[in-house]
Amino acid sequence: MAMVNDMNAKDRLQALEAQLRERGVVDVKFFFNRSNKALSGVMADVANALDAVVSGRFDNAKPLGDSVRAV
Amino acid sequence: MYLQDDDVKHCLEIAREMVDVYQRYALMGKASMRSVDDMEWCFREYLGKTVVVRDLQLEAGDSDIRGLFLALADGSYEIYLLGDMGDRERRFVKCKELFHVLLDDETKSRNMDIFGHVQEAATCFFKAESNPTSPVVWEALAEIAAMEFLLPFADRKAIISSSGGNPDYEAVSARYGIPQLFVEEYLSPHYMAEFENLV
Repeated sequence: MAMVNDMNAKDRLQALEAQLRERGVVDVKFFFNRSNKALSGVMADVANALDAVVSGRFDNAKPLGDSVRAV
Repeated sequence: MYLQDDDVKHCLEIAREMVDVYQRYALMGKASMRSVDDMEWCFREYLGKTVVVRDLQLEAGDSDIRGLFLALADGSYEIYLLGDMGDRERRFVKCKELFHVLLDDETKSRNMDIFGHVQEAATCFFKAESNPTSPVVWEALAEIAAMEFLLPFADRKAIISSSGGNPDYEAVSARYGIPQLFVEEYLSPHYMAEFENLV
């Protein structure tokens, strides 16, 4: 069952990777949380985040609010 | 994870160059808590970088992924932050992803085998004996650079010295705006010894 899940995750990530390449993406990096989550869980988290990117589920970022610069 | 001294020195040099730009142009550039919003402003105004930062409509929750960095073939960059993170975590994640822009190296840092990258990162990132390929190493270098920008080694050393080796981690976390987990890690004897000869 684990092998099936890994294959599903790999297929899903490769499909997302292809969509990113079509958009001209040449490198992807991640901020990984400090956890002991199983690899299958990490893969699912990565896929969910990339899916949000390629599906356009995002807004322009709100400022952190830490600026001391005069606007 | 094994890191080559030259790679770490390179990323610390990049961080110091960022500090120089920041102190030159950002108001209160010498304040303890450096502004990551102003760092982003420096990218656009003084470093000629095209970077878009976006909030994903996806809550961070217990996700192992807190932020993403994309480099595009046209030379621009995109950073995505997951939602619902605390202020300190959001600052640190954004800062680390911004450093990927400065550390971007076509021959060393880039990777588009996402499955392989995540598999390697997940198995190597937190193991001292691992010896990963350079794209995974670059994940660690960006974090080191972010810490050097937000809480430089010189400050870490002074904090440890003035506290008699027993720092108030929560106070440091609040003063510098960094998650306490990272403050504790980078103030640990192991990390301090590792950086002593590299800074």
